[in-house]
Amino acid sequence: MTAATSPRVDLGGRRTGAGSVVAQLLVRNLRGIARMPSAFIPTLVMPVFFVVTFAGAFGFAGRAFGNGNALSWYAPMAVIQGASFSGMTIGLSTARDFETGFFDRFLLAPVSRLTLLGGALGAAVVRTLATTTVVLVAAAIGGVAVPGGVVGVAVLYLSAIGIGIIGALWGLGLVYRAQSTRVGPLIQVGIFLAIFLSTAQVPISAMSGWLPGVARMNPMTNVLRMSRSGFVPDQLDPPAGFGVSWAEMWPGLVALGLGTLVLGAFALRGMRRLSP
Amino acid sequence: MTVALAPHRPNVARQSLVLSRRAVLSIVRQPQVVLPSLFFPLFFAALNAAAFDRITAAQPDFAAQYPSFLDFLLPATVLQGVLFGSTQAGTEMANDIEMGFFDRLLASPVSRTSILVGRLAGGAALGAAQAVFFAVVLVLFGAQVTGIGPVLVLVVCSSLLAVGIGGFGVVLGIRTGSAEAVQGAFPLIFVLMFTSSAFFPRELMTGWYGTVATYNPISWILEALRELLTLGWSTTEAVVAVATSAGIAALAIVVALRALRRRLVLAA
Amino acid sequence: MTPIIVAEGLERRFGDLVAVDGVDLSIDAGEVFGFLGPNGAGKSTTVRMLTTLLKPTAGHARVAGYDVVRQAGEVRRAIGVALQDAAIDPLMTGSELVHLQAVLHGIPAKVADQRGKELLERVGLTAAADRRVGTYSGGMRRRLDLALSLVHEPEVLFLDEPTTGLDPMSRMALWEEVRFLNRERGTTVLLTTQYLEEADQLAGRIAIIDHGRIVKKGEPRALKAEVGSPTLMVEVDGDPLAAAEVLATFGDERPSEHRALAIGLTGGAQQLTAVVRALDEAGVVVRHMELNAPTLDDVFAEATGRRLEGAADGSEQGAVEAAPA
Repeated sequence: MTAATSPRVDLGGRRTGAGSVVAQLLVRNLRGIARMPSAFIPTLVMPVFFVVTFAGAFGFAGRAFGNGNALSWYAPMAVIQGASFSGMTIGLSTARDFETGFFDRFLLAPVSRLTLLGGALGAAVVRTLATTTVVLVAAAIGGVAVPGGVVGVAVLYLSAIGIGIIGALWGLGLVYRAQSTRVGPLIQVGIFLAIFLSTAQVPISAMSGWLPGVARMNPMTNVLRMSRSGFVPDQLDPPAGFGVSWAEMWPGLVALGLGTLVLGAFALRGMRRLSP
Repeated sequence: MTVALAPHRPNVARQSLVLSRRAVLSIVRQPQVVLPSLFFPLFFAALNAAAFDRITAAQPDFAAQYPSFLDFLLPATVLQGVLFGSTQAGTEMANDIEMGFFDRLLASPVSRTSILVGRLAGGAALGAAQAVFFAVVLVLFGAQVTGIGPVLVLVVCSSLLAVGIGGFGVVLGIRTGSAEAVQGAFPLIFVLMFTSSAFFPRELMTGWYGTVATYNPISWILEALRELLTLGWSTTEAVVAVATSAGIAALAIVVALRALRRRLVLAA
Repeated sequence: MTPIIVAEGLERRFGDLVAVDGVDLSIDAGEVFGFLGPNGAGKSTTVRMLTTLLKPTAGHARVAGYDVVRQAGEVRRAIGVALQDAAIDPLMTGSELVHLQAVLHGIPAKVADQRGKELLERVGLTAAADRRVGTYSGGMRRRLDLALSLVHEPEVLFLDEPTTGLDPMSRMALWEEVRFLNRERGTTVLLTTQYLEEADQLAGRIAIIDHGRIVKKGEPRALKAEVGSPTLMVEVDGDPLAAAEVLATFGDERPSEHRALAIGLTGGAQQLTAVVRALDEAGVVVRHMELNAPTLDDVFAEATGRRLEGAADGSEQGAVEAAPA
């Protein structure tokens, strides 16, 4: 028995590019923030809070911070923190998609897993741009000086984007495996340890005990140095001075590159395990 | 033949005890709450001591009173532990409401006060235990305390603050009936702590930050505790610490009882 | 007719638990195939494997000519899926969801808009299209889910418990839609359900699954005829032993609910008077008596020794209430 078929709707050809998919996923993500801002507002506020309190508390010790001042030391750090939180929120919103079952729709779509991941990372980048800008504005209001000029700010944005992506990959890798929001605290702890066991709070020269050794090994130290290169004069020995220098930058770029590769594999593998 | 039961008045003390026991057991059975509340404050203490010891030691006045930054951090560490542990009271309250246990309690002749006392007892017990634990560990790592008296004040304040923070958490739990909402309030208390002199010496604060910290009651408590622990017993400081903590606890209890009563009216 | 869904020895383990234990299927293009079974039987797990959402731990399957594991992408292009819990994002509106689904399936934006409007109209959601899905009722969500599964005109449609929890009207509407799709577009439909009536009404062939295994396969009518004799169900006052003895002479015992006794009445409905007389002579007080032509529930009961839980919808003859003695 052949079933009667009415003429099929012309769907205008099937292969729209991965670009449209990523764009659409991005739009959805940002729309989600607009409709439920409460999930994202802490991410915007906490880094500002951080820079204000730490700069206020340790303003007295200005010269200890790489021969600059506390605000210049902490503003880039807060930016990096905001970037990592942005990445984390992508992980959490994906976890929500799992819990509502909506993620199945993505898995059922005939798009490559890489494209789906790309959509999530695109959203992470946009959120990172937002948090970075907010912190910079707050720091500017607080009177931060940017001797490194536009280049310094650009390098800061670059570092932030890198961390945003890495934070998102970490969160997503865990969420793809756990498929629930239960894994939230683990995401946070990982990010927290990565940030604080480094030169986030003080330069290595000011550290005592076990901390300097750990901080030296932590790739985040390199990323922070890179992010501060336009803000803080004496991060290296011999000092590189004000302004961005290659010596301050390349370890950070290597750290970001390696981090992206390692955690990218972590996330992709997690996603591939979800379904063929 | 049925036996007539003599009507009896609700025994507040006994009910409180039973409900307290339930709350304490519940906390003890949840290592995922207790362990982080013991581990993280210690971790922060270690981290911050290693990070800020030298910078603050460069300030002679500070260094004179606090040979090690750990000395400075002990009360703050306890406060952090209390914070981690005492959102539990509110979360459990919300869960009880969600699962209907709360309504069953309301329908029984359990006094409203004992419901509250019971809920908060768990946090208070944990707070006291945490204070002792942290004091012991930090002393082992080189912090110095001036005697048992100050440590006792620390323990008392810790329990009172647990009641206070737990109480406000319970209010949230009652008003929202959602564990998620209670946990969402966690950052607010975090903000409260950071705008005090809990983690940073107020003497060294610059600008308006110092002003804000001066008016924060958390600052009064922690500074008083630090004086006691590093400079020796002073009745004034002890009174300041305990009274302020008790004040916060009392306020929380009043607000919580009011919220409890409001909920009764709604449920009636 | 070429089979459009083929499964051989499909198995899925979760640790020690075997959720699907060697399922074989061969479903032709244009069929409506029903997968009937109680909760936890393995229906959803099987569907998830066939729709590339889950990797089988053993066996293989091909849908629309493509292997579900190695050619998952092509399979996804050919199938539409509406899962048990409507997969939605509560913050988006109906139109936005349909649009996203279209983009995900490679349909260009302008066509997507048009297609979205058509589909929403088809499932009766045009008025609600610009409202957030979080405000939709359960029935509306299911309809949206169905629209989403149809965006790219799939050859094969998988529906996992499509009417569970729906009111009767929504259920009827969905059945109509399934029949329409199958009739007008030749869409092959595989639906899972715990409702006998649904399987009976919609499916051309069914497979009954229990504890991960297919216990019966075939056309509903044929399966019922296989069972043969109608089921006589009797509830008595007092000790049922005497009644059981009497009934045993009229047919074989069948599984029953609560304290009722049931047999397959070998002689058919004509034997009814004889049964009543025999029970009366034995001094049995009958509370309730029911004679039903074989239903899918009986088919299930015969194959598994249990009744399908909470879904005995299939009575076709009246019940006889015994007057109080």
